[in-house]
Amino acid sequence: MSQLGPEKNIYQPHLVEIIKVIPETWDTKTFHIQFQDAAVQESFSFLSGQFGEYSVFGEGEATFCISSSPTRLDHLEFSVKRIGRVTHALHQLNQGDLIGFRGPYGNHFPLDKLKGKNLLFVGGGIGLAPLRSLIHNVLDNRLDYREITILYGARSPQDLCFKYDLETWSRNPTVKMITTVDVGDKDWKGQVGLVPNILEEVGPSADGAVAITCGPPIMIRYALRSMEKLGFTPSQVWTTLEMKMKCGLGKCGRCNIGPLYVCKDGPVFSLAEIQSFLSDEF
Amino acid sequence: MYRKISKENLRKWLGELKARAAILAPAKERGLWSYREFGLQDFPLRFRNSRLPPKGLFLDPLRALFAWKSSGGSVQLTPLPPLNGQRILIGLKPCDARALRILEPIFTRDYPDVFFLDNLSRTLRLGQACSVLCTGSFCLEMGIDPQESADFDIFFREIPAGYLARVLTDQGRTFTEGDFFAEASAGEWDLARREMPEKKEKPLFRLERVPAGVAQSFPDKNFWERVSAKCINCGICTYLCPTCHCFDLGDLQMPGQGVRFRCWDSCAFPGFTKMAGHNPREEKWRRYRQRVSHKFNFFYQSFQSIACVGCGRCVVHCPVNLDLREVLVEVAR
Amino acid sequence: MPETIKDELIALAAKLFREGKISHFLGYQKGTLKFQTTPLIALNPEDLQHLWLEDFFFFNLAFYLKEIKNKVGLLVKGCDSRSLLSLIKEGQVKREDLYVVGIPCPGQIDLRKVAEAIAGEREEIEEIWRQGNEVHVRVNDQEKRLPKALALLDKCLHCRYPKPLISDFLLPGEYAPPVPPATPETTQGLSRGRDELRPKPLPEKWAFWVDQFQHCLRCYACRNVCPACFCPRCIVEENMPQWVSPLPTAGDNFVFHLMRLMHVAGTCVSCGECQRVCPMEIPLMRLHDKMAEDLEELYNFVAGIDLDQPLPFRTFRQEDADDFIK
Repeated sequence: MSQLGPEKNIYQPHLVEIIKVIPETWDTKTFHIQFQDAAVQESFSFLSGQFGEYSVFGEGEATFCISSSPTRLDHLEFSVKRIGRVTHALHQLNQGDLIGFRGPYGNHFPLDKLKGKNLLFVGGGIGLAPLRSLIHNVLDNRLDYREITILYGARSPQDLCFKYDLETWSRNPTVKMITTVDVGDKDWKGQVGLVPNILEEVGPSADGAVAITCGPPIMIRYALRSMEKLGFTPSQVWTTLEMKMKCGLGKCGRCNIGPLYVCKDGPVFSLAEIQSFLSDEF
Repeated sequence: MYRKISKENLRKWLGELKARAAILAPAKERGLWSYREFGLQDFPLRFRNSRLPPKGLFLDPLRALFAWKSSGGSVQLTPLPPLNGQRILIGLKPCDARALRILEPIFTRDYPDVFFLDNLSRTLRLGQACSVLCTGSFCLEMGIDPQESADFDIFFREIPAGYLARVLTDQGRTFTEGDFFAEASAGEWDLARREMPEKKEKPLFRLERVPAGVAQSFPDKNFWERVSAKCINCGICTYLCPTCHCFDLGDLQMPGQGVRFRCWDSCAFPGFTKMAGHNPREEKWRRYRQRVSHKFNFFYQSFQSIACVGCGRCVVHCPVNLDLREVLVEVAR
Repeated sequence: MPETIKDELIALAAKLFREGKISHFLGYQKGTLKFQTTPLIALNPEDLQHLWLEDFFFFNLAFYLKEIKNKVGLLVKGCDSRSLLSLIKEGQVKREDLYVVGIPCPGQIDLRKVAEAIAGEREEIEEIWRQGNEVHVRVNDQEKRLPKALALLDKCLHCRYPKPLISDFLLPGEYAPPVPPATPETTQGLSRGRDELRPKPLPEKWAFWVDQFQHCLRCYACRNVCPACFCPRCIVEENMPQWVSPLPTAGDNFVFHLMRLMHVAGTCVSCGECQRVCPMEIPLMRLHDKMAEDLEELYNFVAGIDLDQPLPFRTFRQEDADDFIK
């Protein structure tokens, strides 16, 4: 993977410009960015599942997955939930503002294991961000994959992210798109129910299928149980592990769990891998 | 290759080298030993080891990484260069030298960290054989020989007439060329080996049992709660440890400009793994388990060496005498 | 300690455990290194078999009350008991949740002073024992004798409260100051003597502390071992906004220590643990002692000696000195 960052200083980011800000929900925004240096933009590439370290100079650095697809490299996208210092600072920024980017870091979703298979995407809340990179990637090469089912849920209609994508995918005849909310409102006409329950209702077959899931830890925990009921084996299920990361380079020690560093050996793991080292820490 | 040198000539040799390099030697100041600019006085007697490990000379406690200037809508980034200038480190001990070797792969692999690596390459490491075992140490159990080591450029053993030197690297050889050093034999080198007065009859624990023992005790919450009960969650064991290397990145902002730094951090601190919604190591026993497991099991799995050299600093300076040796004895049973 | 006293203490604790009056008992057990004890956190009477109170019980165990929130029995020296009063006054612990056992203290030995007196390293000390008013030290098979006043912690030379000010049970023994009040002659100008900095002009004092805090590693041992630092989340850990940078720059280190000093004013009882645990030998007690003296002089306040005196930094009185307003 081409490692970007000024030649020898692995901690120094590239300057990127915010070219668009999309408010997703009351506390989530998506940012579209481009490298200030056109040559860098030209040569940059990454794989779905990888992340970057984004700097607001003076506030700090934070980790976000690259949520755009590697098949569309004119700009990058990432989504931010406003929770702490850096995310608050990011939410104050507008089109034209400059921030820093280091990356791409981490491993990626194993496309070779997905090709020729039925794909089941299960996402919750902002967990759709890493999945979205993979979904667009897959849809841009549609013929390499068989049936595609996307199940996405949020707490309420106001918490749904990437509504424009949900719209696009539901209009795609080659995709089965199910959107659900835990609690509806008077205008909501769609599905109501927790993601794991809807998953069992939809009941996709585990035969020749691979499942990829991202979302809040509690959703993942129950979704995995539902997948197990549907016959998915641990090596058929992929997810991203969330652990506090700082350097992204496998050096600062923060994301160390077992013999692995989530920033180097992950964040993408199969359930089989997680079960082998996943102590009680997760 | 072996050489020997008289005390007189050693001082002359270092005097010459002082023109080409900064010489850092053990000195006692403010009540503790550290490596300081050497003033060519007599070598300190009674030096066992420094309070802070020499890792701080390679992984700086505070290192500026890059700077920025912002005005109007534009931002300019300037990388800050690693420090340069040849250094000679004297009086380094086998435990600390081994620790530097243990640290190297972390800062070399995948993304080479020039700040650490340049510090390594610009420093000539001159070692000193120990004459006593440090209080609280367990270097022998960790497979370190206080009297023999290949982890230096030149390793010295004291003899009545001066020093014997084992030259281990090409750089070491270059530095020992000239008239100050005379040739010596392997036989002389062997004869200069001292018996350590406090050497124990029986080791505290068998090192080969430790990684598996730590792995086996991983799920035993009661064990980890019991052994970590008195820990006060400070950073002394991690900061005084020659192999601990966890760090943090942080910004210092002034109007219109700022700097990003790297500084030491500790997995013992409660906030180390804290995320916005969740802290996987909220409880003290989890953090202690992680520290011991990382050093004695996980690091070993990744790098085939245990991240501990038994220097004993954590044992001596823990504010509550939480003795790692006791924990290792129990897990290796 | 005589077996009978230890047995008595164990029987007492056993009763407290049995009756559900305590869930933990805090005491001291023999350390793994010479000349030290280690905290004993007993969860049942059997654990107390390890009690060892011969010497070197310097810990102020009150700091564990920050972490252990149930009913606790603990051993306290006279000075430690002041921390308990401070914590009760600050609403951090309830009197009825404590079973306080006082222990008589012969004064605690300062290993740094002993090492200095023998002109050697702490590791070289082979044996320390007490005899009458002297502390005997064996080093290199030679015996040296020091008058107590040269071997004890600074705070012991000025002990005003040898008997616990709050207790449910007192172990038998003599509760008296270990030495008569110190004089310049008895302390013989030791490097850690308290009065060295006092007469110096302010710029020199400033320069002294700027130099000292450069060496601070931000290990936070001083803060964590201090009973008066009971904030569940220290202000240093706050980053929205960031009051003190966690980076160990000289300036931020200075701010951290001065901030901590001011925050514990009124609760700090000068137990000296912060100085003992500092791995970089920063003489923190000079600041804490000065602060305690200032509080006594300005507000007639001494921390931890009663429950009635209002806390100086929580209270305003018309007659408070205001000559610092220029």
